[in-house]
Amino acid sequence: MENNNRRYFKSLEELNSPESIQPKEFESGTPGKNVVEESDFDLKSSRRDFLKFMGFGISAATLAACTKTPVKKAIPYAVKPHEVDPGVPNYYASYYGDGGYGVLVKTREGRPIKIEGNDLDPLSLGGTTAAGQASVLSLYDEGRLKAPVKNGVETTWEVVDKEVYSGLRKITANGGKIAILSNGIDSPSTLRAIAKFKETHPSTVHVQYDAVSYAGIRDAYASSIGRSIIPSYDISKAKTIVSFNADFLGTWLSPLVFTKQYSSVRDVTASEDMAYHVQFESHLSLTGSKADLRIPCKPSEQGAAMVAVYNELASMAGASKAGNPGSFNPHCTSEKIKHVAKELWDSRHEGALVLSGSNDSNEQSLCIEINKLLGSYGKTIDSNKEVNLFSGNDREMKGLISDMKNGGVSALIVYGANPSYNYPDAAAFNEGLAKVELTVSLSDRLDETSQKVTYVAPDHHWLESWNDHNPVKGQYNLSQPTIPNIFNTRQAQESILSWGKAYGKYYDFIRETWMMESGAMSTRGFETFWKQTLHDGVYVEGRAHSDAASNSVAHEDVNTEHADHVTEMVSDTTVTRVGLLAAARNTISGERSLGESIRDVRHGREEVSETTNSHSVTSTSSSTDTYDNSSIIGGSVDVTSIASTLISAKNNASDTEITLYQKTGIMDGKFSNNPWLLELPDSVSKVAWDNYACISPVFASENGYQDGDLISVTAGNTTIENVPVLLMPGQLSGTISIALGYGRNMDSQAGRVANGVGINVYSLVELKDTKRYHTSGSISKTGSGYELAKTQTHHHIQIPAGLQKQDRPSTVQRKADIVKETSLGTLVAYRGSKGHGGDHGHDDHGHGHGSAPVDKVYAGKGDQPEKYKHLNIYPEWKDTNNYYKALHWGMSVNLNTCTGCNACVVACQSENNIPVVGKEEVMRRRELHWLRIDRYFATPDKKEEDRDILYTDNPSVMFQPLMCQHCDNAPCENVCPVNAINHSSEGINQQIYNRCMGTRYCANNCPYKVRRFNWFAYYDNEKFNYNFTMNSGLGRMVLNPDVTVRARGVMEKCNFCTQRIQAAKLVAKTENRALRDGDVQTACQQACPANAIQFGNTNDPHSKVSKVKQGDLSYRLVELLNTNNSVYYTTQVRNVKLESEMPVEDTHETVEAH
Amino acid sequence: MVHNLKFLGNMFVKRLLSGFCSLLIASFFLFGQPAQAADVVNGEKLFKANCNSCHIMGRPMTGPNLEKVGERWAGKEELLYTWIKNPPKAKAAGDPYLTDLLSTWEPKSGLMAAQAVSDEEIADILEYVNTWTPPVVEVPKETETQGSGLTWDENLMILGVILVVLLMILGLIFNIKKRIERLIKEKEGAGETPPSPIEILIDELKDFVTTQMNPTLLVLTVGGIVTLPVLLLLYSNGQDLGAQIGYAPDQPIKFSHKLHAGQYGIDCQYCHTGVEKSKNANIPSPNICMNCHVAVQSGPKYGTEEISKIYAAIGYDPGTGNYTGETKPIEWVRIHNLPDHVYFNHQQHVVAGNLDCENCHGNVKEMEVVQQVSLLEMGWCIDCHKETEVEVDNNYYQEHFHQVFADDYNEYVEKLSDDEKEGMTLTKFVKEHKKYTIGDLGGLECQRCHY
Repeated sequence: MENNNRRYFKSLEELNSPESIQPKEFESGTPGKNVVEESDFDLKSSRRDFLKFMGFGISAATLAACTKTPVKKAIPYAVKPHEVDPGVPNYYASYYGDGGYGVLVKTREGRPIKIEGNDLDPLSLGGTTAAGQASVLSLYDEGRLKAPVKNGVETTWEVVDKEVYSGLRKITANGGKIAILSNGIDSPSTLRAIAKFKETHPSTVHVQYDAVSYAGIRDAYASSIGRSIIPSYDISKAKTIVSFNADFLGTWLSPLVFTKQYSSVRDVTASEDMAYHVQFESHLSLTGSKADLRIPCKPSEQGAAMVAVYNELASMAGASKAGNPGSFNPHCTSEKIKHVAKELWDSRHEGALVLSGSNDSNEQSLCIEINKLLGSYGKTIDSNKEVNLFSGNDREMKGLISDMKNGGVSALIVYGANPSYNYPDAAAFNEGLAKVELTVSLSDRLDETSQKVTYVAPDHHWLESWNDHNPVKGQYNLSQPTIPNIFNTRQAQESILSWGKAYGKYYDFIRETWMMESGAMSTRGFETFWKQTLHDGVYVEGRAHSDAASNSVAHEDVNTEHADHVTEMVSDTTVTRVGLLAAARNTISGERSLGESIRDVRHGREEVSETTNSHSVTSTSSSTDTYDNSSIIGGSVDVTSIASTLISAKNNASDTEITLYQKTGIMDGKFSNNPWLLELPDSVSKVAWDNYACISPVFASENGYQDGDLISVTAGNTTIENVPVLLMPGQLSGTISIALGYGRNMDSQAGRVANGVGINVYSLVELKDTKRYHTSGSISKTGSGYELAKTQTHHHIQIPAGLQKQDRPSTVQRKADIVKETSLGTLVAYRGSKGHGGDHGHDDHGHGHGSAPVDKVYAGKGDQPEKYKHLNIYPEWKDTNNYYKALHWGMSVNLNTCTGCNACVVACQSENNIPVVGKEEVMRRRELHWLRIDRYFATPDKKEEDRDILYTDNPSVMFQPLMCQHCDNAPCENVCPVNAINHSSEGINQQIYNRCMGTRYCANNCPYKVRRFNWFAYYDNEKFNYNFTMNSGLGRMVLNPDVTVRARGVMEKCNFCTQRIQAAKLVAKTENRALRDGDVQTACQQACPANAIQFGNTNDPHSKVSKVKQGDLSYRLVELLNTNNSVYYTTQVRNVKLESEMPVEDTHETVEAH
Repeated sequence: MVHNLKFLGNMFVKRLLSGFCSLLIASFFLFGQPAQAADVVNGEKLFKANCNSCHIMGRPMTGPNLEKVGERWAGKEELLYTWIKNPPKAKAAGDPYLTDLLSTWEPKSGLMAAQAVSDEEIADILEYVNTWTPPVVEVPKETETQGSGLTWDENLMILGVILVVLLMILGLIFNIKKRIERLIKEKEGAGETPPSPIEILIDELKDFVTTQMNPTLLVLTVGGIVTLPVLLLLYSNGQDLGAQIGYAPDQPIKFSHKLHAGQYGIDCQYCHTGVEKSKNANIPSPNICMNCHVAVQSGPKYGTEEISKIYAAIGYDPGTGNYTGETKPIEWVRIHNLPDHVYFNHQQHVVAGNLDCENCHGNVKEMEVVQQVSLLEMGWCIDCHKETEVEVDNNYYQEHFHQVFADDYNEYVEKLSDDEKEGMTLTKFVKEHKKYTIGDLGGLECQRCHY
């Protein structure tokens, strides 16, 4: 069937003119152009020149050889800390507050060098995010303030403390108003510190404010059930997930948690249970990319679409409809709405979940109503397990600013917030700020706000701080310092406390909070409890502490990944599990639980009545939580009026609508001075180092926009100039979207990397009762020729010409050998016909060559030809040298659960000392990421003239993490003239930097384009000073000492984290045992929040990777090439239910390889 | 990490236990000795066994200096005996001298513990203490200059060459003398005289070279003979360029391994604590030195001069016995240097490979100043990896390399007669016949050390 084929493309260039992106022999060119003058190439050397050069060369070499070997020093500690052993990493449990999840911090010789997931944290379950991985680099950012500042000049703490305190005292005495403006705080002790401050300065108000606000949800719950909360959503219990513009896998609320949950209901390698996911959105988000059914929908239509879904559900439930939403854009048909409603209704018993990403409380209220109809409360939503992240309140912020402008505020202390940068009406804030008598900031750098205040009392980095956190009800995390403060900074809470005349260490203050709240517990009991919590990094009400901690006295085999110093503590208190539970119970059944009093502090200002706040904390001492969600059912909201508001919003929208979104790396821009994050290509657009206006290609061709045009964007009274345009498939016609978090304008020191990168669009955020991240407006073209660092066409996988089909452009051609997808229906039918489940029972674990013959669901003709499977490019060598007989490392990547979140890319960069090359170099295709995530679009493969709106407005999307494939028949190996690449007996393609002389033949010959060439000395090179991991003494502290910093002129690539393999082997040998599956975790695998990456010994039939490899969804890239890759991909499966959306199997006939 | 600590903890407990046991046995043994009347030798033994942990002769330590204690207690011997056996009782007696003494020492070190010694033993100890005289401090002699560093053979060879050259010159001079003599004789009219044999020989040689030989060839031959060895020498020595065998730089503290490791037999790992658990062996931090040097304040060779550098580094005041908190790390000169692109791990070699320190570091016990004895070049590493057999008993190898072992075994057994096959189990084969070297099991691959 003609339209059964699908067309895969990585970029519009590839789709429209494939020839233009055909890689040249050496795809990243030579650096000649920018280094050498044209005239330098006129080399006419005479014999005398030759002799001169020879003479110089020989004497220079002689001189160089005469230099004395440098004397190196070995300087031991003066007093060695007993828990530090040089060369051995220590792990400390902590909490990454800006992502809201627990982590382990790997330190070497007292320096944090890597962030890793904490398995014991029920939120993250060992996963991390890109921003969390990168946050370790911010610790070594020289842009941080090195001392307190008064009026822009460095001063001492004594001066700041004295003047701030006397200023505050004067204001308090005169009855002036003091305001503490912070970001949303989930830390009980910080809230208590502020309360303590209020005791001394009673006229203090505390306003919380988030750059990206979730106040809409809180408002909706306040009006629905009288409690201003964000509930817990549990996607892992959902059978059908419908999201209205909530990018829950990328940026919304708590993406790490949702990714974990989502991956658990989307993995079909072993089961056929797969949740159905529908996404309504205008901007192609990470979440939309993974959806089974993506319904493009303008921002203004989303509320109305929700009304339409509500109406359908209401009619099924026998309730009344809420008004007629009318019709939508052509993608959003009434059939689709009906279908979505029916799916939701059908799965209401198993678990349905509707999410809204809007910050409009009306939309959120309607979302609550829909979930009520579906009975989601108590199943997929838990309104009693409140999420304490993002507790900012937009109305209070607005009130504060108008107060400030009226001169009603005498002192302002800013903590963790940066309104001069990210408040939509920053001008009003600045105006107000100028009228405040005493202004203090606790920011760690001279950012936009702290440049304008009198005193800056710089806060520690989170890796230098003590803190406690209460991300969701019933869970308490601790963060602990992993390094003493590098600069002369001070913990913000200590500053607040000391200005409130409550001096002391914040550490003691936290312990005091915890001890106070845990009631009657004995000191000894508390010590035990505290140390356990510190060890685990987390305490969950009703859950025992980790086995690792509580059994460490008895067990030899304790979890080696946890902070060692705690072992010692634990061993002198002989903890038993029973004792611990008792301790936990003590905490809960104390007079008031920790949770209760914190909530009181948090919501005291909400004036929540005691009756609605009743919850069953005291009864949750048993481990099974019983939640009462009945209160949510009873609440009543006027659906009709909400619906009419939403419908009128749709009808009144202008032609062009603007969505403001966040990118997975930079997020709200708080930590944008981080080169790892700036260089990280956006998951979907694959653009690094910029933000831009995403415009639909169809809209662009109709209205005359091109890639690289500069436009001005106007919404209301705000106009933003010079926004570069990016034609983005998946962007709905008539809408544009721009990422927040760019366009920083800090002091040049503080923002060395981020300043001037991209454009700040926070002023486009609409200020209504809550902030709205979509708006109506208009755009107009003002210029052109702006270049974006697009990486999507780099590293193009080449399929040899002989294997191409003749009638189509070559690059679009054989993508089916690279990315494979199928539908759940096909998979189920296939498995039914084979009469087995997902788990293949093959015992053959194929030593040596190739994989066992496994029936694959896609079984295309593009597979590895059977007759060549035994072929080996080094037969004698590999047969006689014990190759692959002992260990054969392999990796599997589950394309189905991978969300393209980029955590692995940053983890790899952090683990392997990968330099940042900068925008210019990225544009020259020289980015050095060893692991990239390829993003493919797919559309039905129709003829050219049919390429209409349906194509590029709503393509389906696939992500494919691509690292070195470690081919057993590696084409790169035998073209190296100096044998700098060879194969290990464990199947690793080894790159030897010291042998490499940079011919780049290997990169040229690599079919998968995973080799990266080091064009310049990226270290000690002021031209690359944004690469501060290697260009400042401080930045170098983040480098992994077990991995070489590569020199100029060598090829580098993924090596399966050899350093980790070797370390694990050494542990096994020392312990006189074999390696166990899971002993070796690569950096990407460890970081992955979706468990999409598995790594292990493929010779072991019981290893996870072997099982995946044997599975019927597993395939390797372009098997036709017979390169025998060691990386296995798992076919993407979409749970397609609508006929029109059906992806289809690759059916094209293959030219047999010769 | 946790494991490492536990391991260390266990070690510590074990050491503590064994130390305690030996102390117990030693004391039992000592106390069991029948005492002799005022025996200085026995007194010294007893002093070292019982008193030395707090008292040191010649200066105060935890307790006061006991030098000539008899003079100070003259007339109060009974009280002294009581004091040794039952300090609280003696204290209660309220002797002014003792009270005064206690006012300085008790706050610092507490009251002395009661000593289980008999009166006879006390007499012996007092005899030793009272007759003790400070040992004469040995002034370190200037060590003799070590000569030019050439061996006898080399000297002989140089002498030989000089002799040959001298002989040749002698011959030439003799030749010239003969010729001149002949010429004079001819001038004087003595007629032709026959040339001497040595002249004939030289003339013949000259003729041969100028007429019979190709001068180009000659130049090439002679040049070749000269340059080839030079090139060879360059090549072989050039390989070791940068290798620092014998590198023994001056260290900031003249620490003697010969004394500590050799004479006192201190285990390498007592100071180099990382050797079994880390890639780094660790140069000990001064707090490890202080384990002993809080008591040993003077060394046999340099007296207090070098040891005081430790105190300066860790901020210890030997006068008061207090730590000042002002530390200054010692900047040792690193002797064993590997390039940055090499990953070397001590744990791998010492624990998994079961190597002794001496294998690479030489006989450190004999080194006054530590020097590099091994090449520490890749060739040197590889040679060892090619030759050293792997400990196949380790379960790691047993479980992962069974396929390798089995394949080799099958191949081997096939060639055996039926009788020989009997009893040739796989285990036996692996252990006895096939000696697996590190290289056989992948230890020569690049990425074992370079990543």
